[in-house]
Amino acid sequence: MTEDEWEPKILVFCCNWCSYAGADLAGVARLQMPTHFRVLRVMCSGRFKPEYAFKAMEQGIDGVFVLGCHIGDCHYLEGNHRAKKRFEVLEDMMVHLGVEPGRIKIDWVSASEGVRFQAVITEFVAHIKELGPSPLGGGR
Amino acid sequence: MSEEARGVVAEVLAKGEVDGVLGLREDEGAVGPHYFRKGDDLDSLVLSPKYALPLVLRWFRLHSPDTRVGAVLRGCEERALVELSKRRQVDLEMIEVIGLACTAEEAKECGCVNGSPTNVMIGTPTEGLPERREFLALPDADDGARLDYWKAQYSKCIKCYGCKNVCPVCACEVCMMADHGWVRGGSLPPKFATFHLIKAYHMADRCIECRECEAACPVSIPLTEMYGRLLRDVERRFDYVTGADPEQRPPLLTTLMDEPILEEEEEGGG
Amino acid sequence: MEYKSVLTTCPYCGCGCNMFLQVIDGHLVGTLPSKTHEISRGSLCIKGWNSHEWVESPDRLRTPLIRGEDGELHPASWDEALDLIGSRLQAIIDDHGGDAVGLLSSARCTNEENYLMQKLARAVVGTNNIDHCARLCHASTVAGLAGTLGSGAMTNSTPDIPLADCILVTGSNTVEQHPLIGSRVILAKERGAKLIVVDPRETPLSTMADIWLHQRPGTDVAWLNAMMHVILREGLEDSEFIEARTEGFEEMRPVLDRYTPQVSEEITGIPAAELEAAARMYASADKGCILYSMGITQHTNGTDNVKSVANLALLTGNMGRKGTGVNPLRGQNNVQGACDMGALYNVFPGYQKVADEAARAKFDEAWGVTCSDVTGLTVVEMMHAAHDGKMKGMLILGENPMLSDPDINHVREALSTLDLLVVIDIFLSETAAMADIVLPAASWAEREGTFTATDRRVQRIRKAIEPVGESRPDWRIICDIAGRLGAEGFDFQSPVHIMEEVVTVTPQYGGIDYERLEEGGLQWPCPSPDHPGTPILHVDKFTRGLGLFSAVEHQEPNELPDDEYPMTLTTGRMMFHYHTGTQTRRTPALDQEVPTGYVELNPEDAKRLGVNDGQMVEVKSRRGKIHIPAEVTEKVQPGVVFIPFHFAECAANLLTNPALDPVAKIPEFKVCAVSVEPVKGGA
Ligand code: SF4
Ligand code: SF4
Ligand code: SF4
Ligand code: FES
Repeated sequence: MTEDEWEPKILVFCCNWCSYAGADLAGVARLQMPTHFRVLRVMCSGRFKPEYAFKAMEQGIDGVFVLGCHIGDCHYLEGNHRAKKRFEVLEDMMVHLGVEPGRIKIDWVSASEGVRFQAVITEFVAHIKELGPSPLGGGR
Repeated sequence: MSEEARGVVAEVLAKGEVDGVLGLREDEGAVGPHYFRKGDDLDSLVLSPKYALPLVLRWFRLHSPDTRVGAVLRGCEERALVELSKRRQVDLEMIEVIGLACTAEEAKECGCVNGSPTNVMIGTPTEGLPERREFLALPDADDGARLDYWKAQYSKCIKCYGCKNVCPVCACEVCMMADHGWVRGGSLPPKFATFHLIKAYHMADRCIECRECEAACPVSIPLTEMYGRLLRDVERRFDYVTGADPEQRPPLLTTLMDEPILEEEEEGGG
Repeated sequence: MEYKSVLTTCPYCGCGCNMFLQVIDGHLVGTLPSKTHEISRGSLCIKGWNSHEWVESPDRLRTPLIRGEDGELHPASWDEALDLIGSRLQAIIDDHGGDAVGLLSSARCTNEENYLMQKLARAVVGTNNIDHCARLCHASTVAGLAGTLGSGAMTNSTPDIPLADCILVTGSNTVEQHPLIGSRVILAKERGAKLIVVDPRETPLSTMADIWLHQRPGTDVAWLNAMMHVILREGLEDSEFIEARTEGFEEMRPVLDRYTPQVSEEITGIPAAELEAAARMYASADKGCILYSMGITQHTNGTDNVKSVANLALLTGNMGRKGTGVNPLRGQNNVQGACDMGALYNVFPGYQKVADEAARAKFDEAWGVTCSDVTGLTVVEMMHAAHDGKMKGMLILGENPMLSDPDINHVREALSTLDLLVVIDIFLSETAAMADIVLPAASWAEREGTFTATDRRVQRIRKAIEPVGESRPDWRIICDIAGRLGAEGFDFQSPVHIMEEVVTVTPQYGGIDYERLEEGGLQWPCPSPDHPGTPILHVDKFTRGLGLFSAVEHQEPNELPDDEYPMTLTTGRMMFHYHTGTQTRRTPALDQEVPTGYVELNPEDAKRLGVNDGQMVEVKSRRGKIHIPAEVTEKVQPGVVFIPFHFAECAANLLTNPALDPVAKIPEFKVCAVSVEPVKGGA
């Protein structure tokens, strides 16, 4: 595959209660969005294990995006606190490893924020496109 | 210093508050862990090379939880106990730490910045440790050289799990490194880099930099270059120093306000 | 609470790592590598780290078992079992002579036990039918190197491998089979040593090698000869060394002349230019070290292969110095020792030949008997003899020919025709399950003794816990059997006393005693109590005087692919299991890592055959067939498949060819012809 044909492979983990509903809303409203991502549902952003990110990167995924409820709104109270902290460490780890930390990201989208979902996704996909194929590139 | 240690251990044993003292013994040309009892000849007691004694204490607790023991421990080993106690893997009440201060030379060799145990009974606390650990200079990240460096290092791995087995604070009941859901069984070297990143991530809020893992690694992968950097990040971000305070909860197990998370207890990495 | 940390030697591979078994209240709870030991240096491989896990397994044999009238094995007392063995064995000896009995000793057992087994065969049963699984791995080394150098063992030491400037690894998946030697190769490479790997299959070392040549399986003499051709053509040989230390060079030269790199390319498939580069790399190193293993030995021309490897080292003067040498990596923890102790059909302890009258006289006197001068049978030959009804009884110590020998169907038939099969083991192995009488042995963690590691390093094993159930140390059991046969000279109280006898008849071990071993291992030859041991052989002089070049010609494997069986099967091992898996498969950490066997299949072949990764396939040879999941991987070349032999449910050795090397009698495990097909309905 040449550089031009390259299309990013992106995984988006959405929590069941807010972000997944938000993504759904964006879909139902037919908001314009890039197509390079797959949404995976987790019960809570706190259920997203950093290991998913390692595994995804190992398999050549170019970007991993986690979306949860806004801080204070988590249906398991503090799951997203945990996720937030984990991501900080994860980002540091990417730096030490020599991978652009921007390839992994966490953000918040509530059930009613279809538009916000559209905005953060569009931005993330654009950023990954800018970064180019993952240097771990297991899948290429 | 061994002479001094023998005296101290003899005294502790004589007091009779512990069943025995875990230390090191030189015997049959080899040095290894040994459990000294009251009345034992202490001539064979030695202080180095250091072994992962907190690991042995974990086994003690698992198989004989009601036995109160003494242990000759260095600073890092005591800090390992602190981390283990936070995860309910040892009971600090049941262990009498006989603090052993590393010599300045030993501390230098380890690149230790954390220093002696709280209650030094053997040797004198080392002064003038460097403020910060000196890390190897990693190659530049921008052109992929850093990633290449780790690829080369981790590709030497022979999957002995020594880094996990010997680690005093690697104490999960089910290890994700050995779980096929995460890491394919049987492939050598393990595929870059989930196997190693799992361990690294799990160490970020518990590694006490004893460097036993590096000593056990048959292919000299500089494992703590990654772990140690993450520890500094955790310290900077969450003001958390591993092994310091038994009451301080690991930051990855607390809320953004440092309150305990009620929802789930730690499983796997934390 | 009782806590003990017991220093001992790893029960698995020939590296000979030392570890502390962790014992609390009489039970094994863990393992720690010894930091002060020269080989382990604080490390172990995954097998060593988990070596305590199977010891107290509920599957361990805990009482003797006797096959009843109902055809089942039933628990029995030691006296019952031993009496029965004594009377039935005696009856066979009386009726058919000692040569109707065969004994298989074990490379897993101690030196002391191997010594006793061959003594039992020679001094009590009266036969030289004694052999063990070294026949299946390095018999060709013993034969080949004894002929060329005078000593069939690793010339150098494990700790000095990293001192080499160039390491040539062939037919050895060193990282997986000898992890703590493999790790040294990795470190040497990292430090700047050159690494050449010659192997048909991708291994962890081949991927990091400076040069990786993949030959067609079974063509080693051709590329080795061609390498020497290039070395001579370019004047890279060590003429001084050849002149001063060797003989036979002129006779070999004309043969080498014919093996141009182009000739080699036709035979081996190795591109001529790559071979030339490898020859230059090895020959121009100041210190070149060769490591080889069963990829060289397990062929019908295994002995020739070994000689050829020795030729290469002699030609370049890579002998007798640190970081050089010809280093056969011996597989099992004590395969070196089992050979040293004479658990072989043709030699007494210390490689003293049975055919040699003076040697016989020496042992006649030492044992107070008259030893048979009839050459014994080897492992595979014993199976043939049993099959033909000539062998009536067998005593098998800790071996599992029902999984480890070639052509298992044949082995099964052979063993079932025996009048008496006695197996001594720690688990009910596939072989033990066929026995008339099974005796439970104490495991390595439950007894004392010595193992000899691959670099001739004699080391102690020590008892950490009491034997489980009623199991007894093998040495005890052998003494008891000898006693039941009315023999004298078996009233040993401990392995210490056995070693005291060993040293009187085994010159290489002359200076070894337990007290010295407390201070660490000793490398033989160690002829006298004040001798420090010998880390490097052949320093000023070869054991046989001069090093002998041998002219060796390429010879095709016994069974080549054809229309019916179009692919080449090569077999081997992996990091996570050991031999027939009786121990490793009962080790949770290892079983979890790799639960069953697989056949490696190149993607090209997989596509042609319509096989997906993980799909069940049938692999068939002239001797048998198995169903086994496919692993589609580029590790193997097109046309070649690889199967690890550890797994009974998909046993590679149902397929392998029992054709033998005529000198060493080693079977050709590394090459046979097979067909591969998807199993219908297999997922
Ligand atoms: S330095 Fe290594 S062995 Fe020690 S605590 Fe950290 S990870 Fe574990
Ligand atoms: S100790 Fe080293 S070789 Fe062993 S698993 Fe850890 S990193 Fe790999
Ligand atoms: S390398 Fe060999 S001797 Fe060492 S621990 Fe592994 S199996 Fe045992
Ligand atoms: S439920 Fe949405 S982040 Fe916890």
